Amino acid sequence: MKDSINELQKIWQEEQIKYQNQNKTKITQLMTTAQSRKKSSVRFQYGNVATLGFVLLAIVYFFSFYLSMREVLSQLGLTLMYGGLLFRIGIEIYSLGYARNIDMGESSLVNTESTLTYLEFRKRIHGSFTLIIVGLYTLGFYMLVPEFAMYMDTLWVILIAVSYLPAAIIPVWQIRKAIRKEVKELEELVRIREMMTKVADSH
Amino acid sequence: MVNDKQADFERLYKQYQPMVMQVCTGFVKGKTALASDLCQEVFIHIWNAMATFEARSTIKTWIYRITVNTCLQYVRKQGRNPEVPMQGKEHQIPNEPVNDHQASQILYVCMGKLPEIDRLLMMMVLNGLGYQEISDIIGISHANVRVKVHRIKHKLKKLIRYERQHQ
Repeated sequence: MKDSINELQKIWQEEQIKYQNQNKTKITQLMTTAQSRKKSSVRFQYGNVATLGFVLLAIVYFFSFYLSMREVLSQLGLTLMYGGLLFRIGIEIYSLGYARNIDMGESSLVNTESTLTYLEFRKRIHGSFTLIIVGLYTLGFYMLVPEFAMYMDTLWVILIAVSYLPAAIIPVWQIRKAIRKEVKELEELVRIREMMTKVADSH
Repeated sequence: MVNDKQADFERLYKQYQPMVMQVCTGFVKGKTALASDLCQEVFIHIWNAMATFEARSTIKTWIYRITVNTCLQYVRKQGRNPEVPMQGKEHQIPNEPVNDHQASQILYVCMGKLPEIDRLLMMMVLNGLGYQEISDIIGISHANVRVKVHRIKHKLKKLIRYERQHQ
């Protein structure tokens, strides 16, 4: 086998013709997949915002019409809970806009840089931002407990206060899993960027 | 409007599918099933990005960018795999004379031993793309492309010689 670049180019370009016969995917099927993939991606992205919005509305409704809180401490607690959720919804919407700006048709370096910025932002959301939001929400929730104690039996109050903890652990665990995945992706991207930008040593 | 988009997409697919499939096959070291999935992913990205194509570059450069970015996205999501040499049976091209098959087989095996970016750069060179075009696709300077390509060519030649001696 010859190893001159011209020979290799000839072999490579002759090979390309053979891929025309290997084309088994139907174009219409591909277009349908692309369209349905886009729809499900949009549904998934907005699904998060919709779920958070629904939770916020349910809480507002519950504490406005079903169990209105009168104490100042409880009002402060509710403000922290609403504020935390609203902040989270805002971040999710901002994040959607961020992701949409990543253009696959840009050069690889620009695409890598934009993805890196996006993943670093997601890491921050899943890290410090979420901890602050969960912290504020938890603090807000426990600020309601003294007023609960005014209307409920102590046993029920203890049950409500304790049952909040396992409910908080599940999202924290999921967040940690997401962070680990994103950190791995970030490390890979940094490696790819270094490989791209490093000026090669000449021989 | 939708029919125009479909017609454009069909034309792009017919014209560039072999090129994209070859790059994907070379990138995943000849694993044809994986290359098909990757190729499909590239065309899904093309379909979704067609409305944003602004003709600042040629359509071929744009498709190449999407192909390279999809390959790199695959690496990012899968994590770094150890550089395992490609097994002969993974790259199967039907109806080829034995010598041609051997020559292309060696080329694919050796390409598979290059790091990801070098592999992509080398495939562009083998496809006949110029330094300026490669520079537009990757986004690094013309001079850097030239130096890198020079080094990769040297490395590939050494790998091919080694592979031939050990066959």
